[in-house]
Amino acid sequence: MTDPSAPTSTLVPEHWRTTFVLELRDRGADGRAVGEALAEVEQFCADSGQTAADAFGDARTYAASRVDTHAPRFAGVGRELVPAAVGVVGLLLLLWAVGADGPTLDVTVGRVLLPLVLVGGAVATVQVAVRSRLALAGTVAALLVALVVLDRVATAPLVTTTAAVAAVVGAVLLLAEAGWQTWIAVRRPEHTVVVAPGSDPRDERRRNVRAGIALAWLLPAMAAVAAAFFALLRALLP
Amino acid sequence: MTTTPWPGEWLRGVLDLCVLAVLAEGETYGYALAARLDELGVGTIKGGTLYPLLARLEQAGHVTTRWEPGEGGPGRKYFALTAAGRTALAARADAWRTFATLTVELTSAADRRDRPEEARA
Repeated sequence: MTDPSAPTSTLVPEHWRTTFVLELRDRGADGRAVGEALAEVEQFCADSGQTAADAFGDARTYAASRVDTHAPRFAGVGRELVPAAVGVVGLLLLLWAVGADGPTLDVTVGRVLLPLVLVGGAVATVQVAVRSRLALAGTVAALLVALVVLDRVATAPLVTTTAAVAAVVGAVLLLAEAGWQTWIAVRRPEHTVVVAPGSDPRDERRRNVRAGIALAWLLPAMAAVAAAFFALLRALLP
Repeated sequence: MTTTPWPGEWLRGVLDLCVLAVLAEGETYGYALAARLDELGVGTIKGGTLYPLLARLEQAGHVTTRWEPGEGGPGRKYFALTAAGRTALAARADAWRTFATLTVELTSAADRRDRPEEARA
């Protein structure tokens, strides 16, 4: 199909674009490399009038051929997932403390495994989100089942503490993780933001720093909102 | 412009050489390069084949690139041959001509064996 007058959005459909970008990211391409590869596709399709599928084939296959496959898949995942896991633990401790029925809080087997399941589940969900809706639904359903099982079945307590201690530890972990990520974002900003080729390097750095800081404080913001919501529910409901 | 596509295994062996040869004509961009190859008889080369090849040539130092900002749309990436690319082109082209001559002689000899009457005529 050739139609030089068709807009780029028609020639490079959103699903193809998203799949392409995610696959490039999986293979270690930073924002700059992703922006360049995407601009090549858009320009070629605009010049030729061909769709991305016609000119470049399957988005994942093309992404694999476009990026140096010697880059380790999921490179840097450990560097990113460990702080994220710390933040999730802090979030959960804070929420459990707010939702505790009494002054004590049981840290059960299920609650210890929960952060791992949540972080792993989030990674898996992103991976399957663009592959098929059925796979996405299945992954989310499996995640929900796992969360319920962990909460209802794996109830053997490992540690018992007070809600106040759990809340303080949770808040400290959240703030420590956010502070660390903020420091990293300012000192060594990653090329996270997808930028068009030829962008002003200073503007690019500013956008990457802002994105890094916003991401760093996402979990504390979620924790504050969720804790306020739970506290309000407890106050309103008998 | 060719009407019969060449076998894929032939193109895979020679496409990078053809791309270097077209770039030797002057700086150009992706679609224009593909159109020129088609015009010269190489056939339709898809973007999915062309850009990874150009990326490998750039990594090898045979090609240099620059982006030209677009007017309200995506910018355009231009490719140009480097000095190392011209040297590689000359060496590969020479080797290819030797190989092509060998192939022609082999197939001609086979043809003469199969059809001696025509060979004598």
